Amino acid sequence: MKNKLLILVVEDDPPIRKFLRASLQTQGYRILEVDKGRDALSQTASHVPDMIILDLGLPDMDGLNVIQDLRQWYSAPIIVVSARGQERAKVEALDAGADDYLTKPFGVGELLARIRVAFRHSVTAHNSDNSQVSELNIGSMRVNLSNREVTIDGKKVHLTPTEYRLVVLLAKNAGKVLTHKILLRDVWGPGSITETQYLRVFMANLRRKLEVDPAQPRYLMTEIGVGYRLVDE
Amino acid sequence: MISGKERLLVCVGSAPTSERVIMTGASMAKALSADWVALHVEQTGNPQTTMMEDGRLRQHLLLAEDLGADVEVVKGKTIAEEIIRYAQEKNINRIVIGRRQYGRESFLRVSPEDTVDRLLACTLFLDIYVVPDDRENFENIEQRVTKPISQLRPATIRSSLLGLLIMAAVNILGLVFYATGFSEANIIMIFILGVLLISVIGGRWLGLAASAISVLAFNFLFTDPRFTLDVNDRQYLITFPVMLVVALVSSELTARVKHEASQSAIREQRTAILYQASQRLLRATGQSSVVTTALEHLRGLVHRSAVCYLPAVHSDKDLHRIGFGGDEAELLIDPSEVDTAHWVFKNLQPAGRGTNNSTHVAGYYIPLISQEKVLGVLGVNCESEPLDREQRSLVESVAAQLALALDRERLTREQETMRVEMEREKLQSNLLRSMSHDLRTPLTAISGAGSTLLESETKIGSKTRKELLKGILNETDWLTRLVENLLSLTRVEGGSLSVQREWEVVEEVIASVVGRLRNRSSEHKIRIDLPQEPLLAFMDASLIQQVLTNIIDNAVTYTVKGSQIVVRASNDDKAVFIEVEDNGPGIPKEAKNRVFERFFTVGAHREVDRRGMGLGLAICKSIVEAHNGKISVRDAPGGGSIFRILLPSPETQLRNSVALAVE
Repeated sequence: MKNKLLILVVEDDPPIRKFLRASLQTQGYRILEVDKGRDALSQTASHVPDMIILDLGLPDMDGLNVIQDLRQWYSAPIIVVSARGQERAKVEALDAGADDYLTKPFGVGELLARIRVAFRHSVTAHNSDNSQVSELNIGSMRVNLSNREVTIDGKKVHLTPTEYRLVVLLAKNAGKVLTHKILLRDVWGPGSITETQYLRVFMANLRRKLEVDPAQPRYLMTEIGVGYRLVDE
Repeated sequence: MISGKERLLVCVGSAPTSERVIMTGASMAKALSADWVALHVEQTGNPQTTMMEDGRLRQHLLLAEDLGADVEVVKGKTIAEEIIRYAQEKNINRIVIGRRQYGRESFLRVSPEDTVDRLLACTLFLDIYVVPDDRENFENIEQRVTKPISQLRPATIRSSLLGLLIMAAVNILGLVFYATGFSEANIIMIFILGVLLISVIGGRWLGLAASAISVLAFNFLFTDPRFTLDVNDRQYLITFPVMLVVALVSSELTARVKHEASQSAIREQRTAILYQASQRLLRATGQSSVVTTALEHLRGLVHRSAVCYLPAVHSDKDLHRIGFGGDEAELLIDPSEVDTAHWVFKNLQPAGRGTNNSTHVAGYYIPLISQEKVLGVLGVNCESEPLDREQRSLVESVAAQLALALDRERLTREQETMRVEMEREKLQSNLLRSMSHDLRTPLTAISGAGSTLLESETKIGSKTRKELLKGILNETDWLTRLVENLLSLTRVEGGSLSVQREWEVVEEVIASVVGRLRNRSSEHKIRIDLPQEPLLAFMDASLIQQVLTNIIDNAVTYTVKGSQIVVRASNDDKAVFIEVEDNGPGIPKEAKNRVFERFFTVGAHREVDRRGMGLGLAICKSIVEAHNGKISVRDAPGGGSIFRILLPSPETQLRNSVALAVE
């Protein structure tokens, strides 16, 4: 079965590996398991998996270094798994090129959803040129890239140029968490990456334009301490 | 009291000879490998010393100290007596003293007899080494040249003029008396009164001059033949000398009383300041306030800026510095100054200007020692000039007081750490006890369900199976929340370093908490009330999330299905408020004060399927207090309770950021 997708699981805890194997195999993925960072690097080089699920707390090396090494040449999705309290490590991993994260303990549903989102993004990134896409659809939100228009339920939303750039960036990465640093860098430029407070107020204003109830948002979700995510329905 | 080492007493004065005496004393001490004391006797009746003499004395004492002597200054009437008394007291039997062949002051001295002669006369048991003076003549010339200049201070001119006025008044009054026919005795009394007054105002020298002038004036104006300095009556040959002696003695006495009075006034003032300093040091709490108080007083006493070095909190090697006295203090931040302070801290010896260690620096540094432990270093700015003997002893007494106060602070701190440590240990053991108890319940449930599923795989229906699996998930949920609470607790207990505050949008924090609790609270109605504009608060978002999670979770746990929970946020100039209101049964009055205590649970809720460790709200309190905020609970108007969190805001940043983001 050559067309089954191959996932490399890098995790040092056997029970978690066991449960990952069980749940991923039932979903039709092929699994490769390693428990060390070095093995992860060598196995990735020899098998070139379609995705890597990487625990940040590894016995032999820092998960962050694994990502940095891999990202020299490897472009398929990496999902990191971290314990609560490792917020900083999580953000660093995302900034270093990880695609998404899961916080222990996590449910299978959450895991599979993240895997699906990550695969979809890697497919769109490979198969289609972004410039050819003229419209992005998220639920009842439409982002028309050719005439720079955002509508919700068919109603036009008035956005400032900066807000528009933010929405486009989030919509292109729908379902994926974007860190404060990435958002600031891509929308405001590399000089502004420390102005997270600025970003927060922008997001709050944007939420007022996109959401019916900003306190219980449908689209624009906050990942506290990490960044923002536009839901992917 | 008898130490094995021999001791040598070296007498030091302001005379230029003293330098040689000190050198001789030092080399003798070395040869005898003896300790030596440099003693200066400050004569209570001594004529006011000139600035030059003062300076020389200071140099001598510093020199002696540099050469390893213990410097002592005593006060007394006659030098010889004090020396003998001191030697007897300290059990010293070798004395080194300089001798002046003849001196400028010798004939003015109350006791004209030479000190050395007196010493020799008084003692049979002392070995006295006399160092002759061979530079006397040369020095004397120098003195004569310099003295008048140094004496011509404005005050002297003013008092001289006043003296002249008094003299004139006395003469006029005398003439009036004479015209009225009063006896000569009265006129003489008037003259002596004048001399007394002048001595009070102008001191010894003016008094002497006035004595002479008054005799001459009396002779000139009132004795036959008048208006000449001749006398007819032989009686006056007695009157004049007696009058002169009376005038001299009274002016001398007055001047001495005056000098002593001013000396004791200065001493009294200093004692008062020292006393005040010690009082304020007693009252001061906290290391930095103790140090600032001491430095402030030091400035009052010696008019210098000063610095204090104390060991840094987290390491024994580094010192951190507290300065006082404005810009001048900044001069002592030169690396060589700092190095000197560190050297003093390590070697427990004074250093800097006026000592024989690190003399190139501008500060004078002494260690602060209490109970043989070094607690810091005190540095005084001596850039303009070195401290004189008196100032140095003042600095030393302030240093001693400061060391005592710091020691007291250290003890208080140690006690406090011990208390906190004990409390922490108590808390930890309580925590462990209740954790092991509370963990057992969900673990039993999980392992029970797991083993049932495993062993009776085929015998149980799919419905039971599903229930058991759900039970496992619920229990792990509860365990997860417990672990998260404990994690927050360790972060808050870890102190301010682990609480990382940033400006956060309140609605994002509330939304993420409510989103996460949605599964558990699906049968409750949660409403969120927010102000129109985005509200920013300065907080550690993950910790405040924990607070809100605990409070909302409690509200869900302790109210029946279908109850309403309202989460509200608002603000004023000084703070942001987040409130969680429920319409449940409320909290009993007696429990309301205790809900934030550790291990407190409201007992009567067994029908609710969840037990609590009584940690949730206590953790909320710790977290909010780590934000300098407040947490409180009150009754809701329609029953139920309202939990309120107050987060203070450093407002300027808040305003700026909002203004920035409005495009």
